[in-house]
Amino acid sequence: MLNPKDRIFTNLHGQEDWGLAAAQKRGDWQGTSELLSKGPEWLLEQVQVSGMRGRGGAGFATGIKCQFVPQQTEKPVYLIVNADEGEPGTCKDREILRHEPHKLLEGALLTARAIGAKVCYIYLRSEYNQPRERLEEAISEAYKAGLLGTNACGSGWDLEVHIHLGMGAYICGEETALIESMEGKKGLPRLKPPFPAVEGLYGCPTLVNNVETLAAIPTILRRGSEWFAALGRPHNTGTKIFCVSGHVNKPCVVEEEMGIPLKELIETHAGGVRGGWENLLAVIPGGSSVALIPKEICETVLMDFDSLREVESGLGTGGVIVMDWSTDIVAAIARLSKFYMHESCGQCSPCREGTGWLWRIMQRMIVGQASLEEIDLLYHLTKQVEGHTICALGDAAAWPIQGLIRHFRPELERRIAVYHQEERMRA
Amino acid sequence: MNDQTPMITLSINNQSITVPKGTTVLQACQQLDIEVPVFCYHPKLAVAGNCRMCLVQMGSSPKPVASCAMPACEGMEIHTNTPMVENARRGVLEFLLINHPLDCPICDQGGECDLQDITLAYGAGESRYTEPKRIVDNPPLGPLIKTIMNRCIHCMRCVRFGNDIAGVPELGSLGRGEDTEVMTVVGQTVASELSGNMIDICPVGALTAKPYAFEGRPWEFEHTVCIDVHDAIGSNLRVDTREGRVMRIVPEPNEAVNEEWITDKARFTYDALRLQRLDKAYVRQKEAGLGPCSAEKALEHVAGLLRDVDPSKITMVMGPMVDLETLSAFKQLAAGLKIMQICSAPESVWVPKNGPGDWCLNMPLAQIEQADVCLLVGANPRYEGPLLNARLRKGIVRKTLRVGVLGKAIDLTYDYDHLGDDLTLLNGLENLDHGFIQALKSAKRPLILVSGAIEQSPEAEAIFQQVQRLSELFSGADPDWQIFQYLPLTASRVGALDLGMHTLEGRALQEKLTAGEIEVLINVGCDELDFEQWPTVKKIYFGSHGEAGASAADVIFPTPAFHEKEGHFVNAEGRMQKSCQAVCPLGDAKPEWRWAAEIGQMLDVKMSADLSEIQDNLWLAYSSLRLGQAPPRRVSKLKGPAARVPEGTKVESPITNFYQTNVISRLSPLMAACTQNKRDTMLSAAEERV
Repeated sequence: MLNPKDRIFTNLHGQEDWGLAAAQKRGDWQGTSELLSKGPEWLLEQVQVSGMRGRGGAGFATGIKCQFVPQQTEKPVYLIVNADEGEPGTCKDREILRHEPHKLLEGALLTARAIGAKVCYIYLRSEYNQPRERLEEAISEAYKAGLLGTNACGSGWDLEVHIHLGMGAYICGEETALIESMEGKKGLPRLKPPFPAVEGLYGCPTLVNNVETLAAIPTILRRGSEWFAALGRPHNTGTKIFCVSGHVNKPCVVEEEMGIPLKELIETHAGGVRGGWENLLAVIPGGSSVALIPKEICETVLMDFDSLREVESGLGTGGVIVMDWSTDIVAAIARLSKFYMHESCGQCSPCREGTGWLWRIMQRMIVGQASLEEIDLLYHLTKQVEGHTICALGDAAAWPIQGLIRHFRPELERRIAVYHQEERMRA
Repeated sequence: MNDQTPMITLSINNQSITVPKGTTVLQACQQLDIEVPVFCYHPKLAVAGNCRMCLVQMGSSPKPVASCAMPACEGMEIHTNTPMVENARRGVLEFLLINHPLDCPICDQGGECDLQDITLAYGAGESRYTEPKRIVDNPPLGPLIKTIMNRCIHCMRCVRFGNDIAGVPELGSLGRGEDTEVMTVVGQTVASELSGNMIDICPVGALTAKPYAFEGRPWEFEHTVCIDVHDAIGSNLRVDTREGRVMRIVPEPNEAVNEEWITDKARFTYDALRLQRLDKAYVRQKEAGLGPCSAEKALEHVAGLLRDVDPSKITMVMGPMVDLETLSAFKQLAAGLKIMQICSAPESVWVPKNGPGDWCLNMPLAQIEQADVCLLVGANPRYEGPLLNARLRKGIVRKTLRVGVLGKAIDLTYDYDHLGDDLTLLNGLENLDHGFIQALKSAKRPLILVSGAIEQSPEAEAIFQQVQRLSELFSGADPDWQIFQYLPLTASRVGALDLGMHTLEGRALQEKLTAGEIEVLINVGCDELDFEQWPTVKKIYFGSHGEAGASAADVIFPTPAFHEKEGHFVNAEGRMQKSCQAVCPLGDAKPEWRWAAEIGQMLDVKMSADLSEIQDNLWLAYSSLRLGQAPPRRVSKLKGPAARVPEGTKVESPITNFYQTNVISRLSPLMAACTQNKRDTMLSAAEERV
């Protein structure tokens, strides 16, 4: 369990004021100027050493991603904060934006210095109304205090910060679709390569990072990357905000050490599963895009990128969705299929056609109106979508269904048998 | 690609290949003749990578990659025949097919459908899809394009064509996910002169040609290559015929001329090839008026007319679509009969005649798109040569070209600097304080393109001389780069001027006709004047369609339309191209040169007796020209100071309606429908503004 001293987001629950003065009292914007003066190489190295992996879901090493941005370039470099938090089951960025906006702004300034960006855009989910108000005010406070803008923090570095509101499309959280959307186009993911780090916003080098990733960076730099790297497990370092929702007694957003056992996370922070641990059916551990894990795995699994990958699921965004025995597990996953069908951008064939097909079969699976072979068809279809699409939405649509078939195939078969028996009775 | 482009070696299916940097994996595969199925990829359009059909395996990458979008890299290992690739292809194809209707038997794309072909090669053979299929509306795209959007596979080729090539972004994708639909975003039809090409690039039967609906199957047709006679670009056409009837016209790819596009006028005017055709000779009798007669009688009548009249009172006028053979034969006839007054531009005030580079594009079309600054003088290339405009647009899209317009401001489908519509500016254009002029001065590959539209201006000569002067002034460092470009407006113009078949200006001709100085007018395919206004003049008309020329004529000789005879045309760049005979002429129709020969024989003029003799004469006249090539031409040097363009000189393109510019297009019901459609669109747009 995380030592309270090692907590990065000390005001995550809004127990204190979120404004600049209170934030500074908590340690934000302290010594930023010195950190900036150490130069981009030091900043990049620190991020690298910390072992930070992107908190947006994919878990790509942040240090490496920053280094993809060319150091010598004639084009302007842009930093984009991905605050289009739309993953079902996830609300960590919302809490940062509401209660710790200055951590994000400071992180943005430090990262912008590291990659040479002078403009930072915050692509904010438009439904986040209160976070937007807080963020706007925090930006204006920071500008007034000379922390942002020309000669930010007296460091000689300029950074302009703008908020750009999304219009509610899930796909615009994908970094290249986000860039398209910012350019005023339809949010369709781009082909990679070229990666945004080389050709991003308006064809210029662009770094797109998640709110949580950037907001953690000032503390990492202040307390030392070794401190961060010492938390968690190798390759899965630091702390992570988990959002536990569903059939728990106390749904919560909590910062914990990487690699905390899932059971401990649920029991200690979320007040345990509704009706006791034995009442647990399954958990989706990382937001809707990852495969569910049944209770047997939940007993022992650790909450980090690699451990969850070993059990064919993923840490994703850290949105833990707990489902007890009252859950119609097939209907739950079918609902996710509907979500992905609705949010597919329609650009590339496997996802456009596949997500709809998957949902239609899932819809029938709820009542068992299918044949046994269709379970294999369903699984095969997810394999036809997975890995064949431009962006990861195809994978995200495939994995929950794969998890369902992997762990709950008997349930699917049972429903089919019951349905056909009832059919015969009716006839 | 220049010589400095670094080379990259990669292996595809264990074969090594070296390609220039920037080549995609797909292109490298194609170079090795390794087939990779594609739907969304089209070599002329931007890469979309959305069909996912071209997935290949790359090294040890866990996911297959889209080869159309993946740049080849050094040491890359590509496999196109592994189980991973085969699974991916089968999967993608299955997804494309689930919502595709099974209406191949009634689909006009059948037989030339990419989806059909690729399904045959890579498909599963049976469907596992048991859910209801998607049904969508068909947006109206005007009189030319039929839409059956249930068949659409969302490759977005048409959308990209509209955005990248034609410059009409009306088509777009609406909705998302499986509700994505291609449609006109603003509820309008596609107002492009090139819209028919969307039919060709559609890999399925979602966009098909309306006039061709249910008419035939591609394997039934004979194919003949003809040359487009509707403008001076000389697009190569493939005329598809069945049992002597033109079923459709599609582009014949020719990178140097039309790439793989043609205009809607070239594609869809074939309906007029069966309407109001002249298939008999006619002679006007005093009381009975114009009546059919035998060819012999008409010939005798004409011989009588010509024998009795002083040659100085005879003129010839050549129409906009006549081929070199016709021009050559009538040149022979004119020489034999000592006819000195020949006009090939009946509406002109002045036509440039000093040298072969004066009436031509002096750079090949393919190079024009390489220009960095282009000044258009009195030109509307969008109507006067849509494919030239598409070339210019390419430069604009690539951001390598800046266009300035001197003349009427028009919608060219791209942004340009409008310098003004008063051509007086030409007098001191180099001193004009405008960023565009600075750009023109410092350009490496500048162009000044003056349109044949100036011919109808009273100040044509002064405008021409000023452009000549400016061309000499702004000429870049490269001696091979020709700045001066003249865009002729008709298919016959360059040939007629090359062969010296223009000695009398159109306006002068009209004055002479009105003044009664002319007794006989030999009209070869010209319908652009109101000949009824000179009732006393005896008019001999050679032509294929009955319109202004025929109705006023005293004698009519029927001739084949462009696709019913063999002929050569010299296009705007001075490229000689052969147009082949697709079908037989109608009735008594004979090629113009044959009528000329028969008239000549009756009047004891020595005429070439057959086609090969006429063509031999042509090869002599064009000693330096090889078929299909455009040897460099150069504008003549200005002799003395250029005349000043007087105040208030304005030039407007004579083509105000792109769809109806010559007798064939005026008689085409489809072009009439297009005209009406365009008018309606403009009216509704105007109403919206109100």
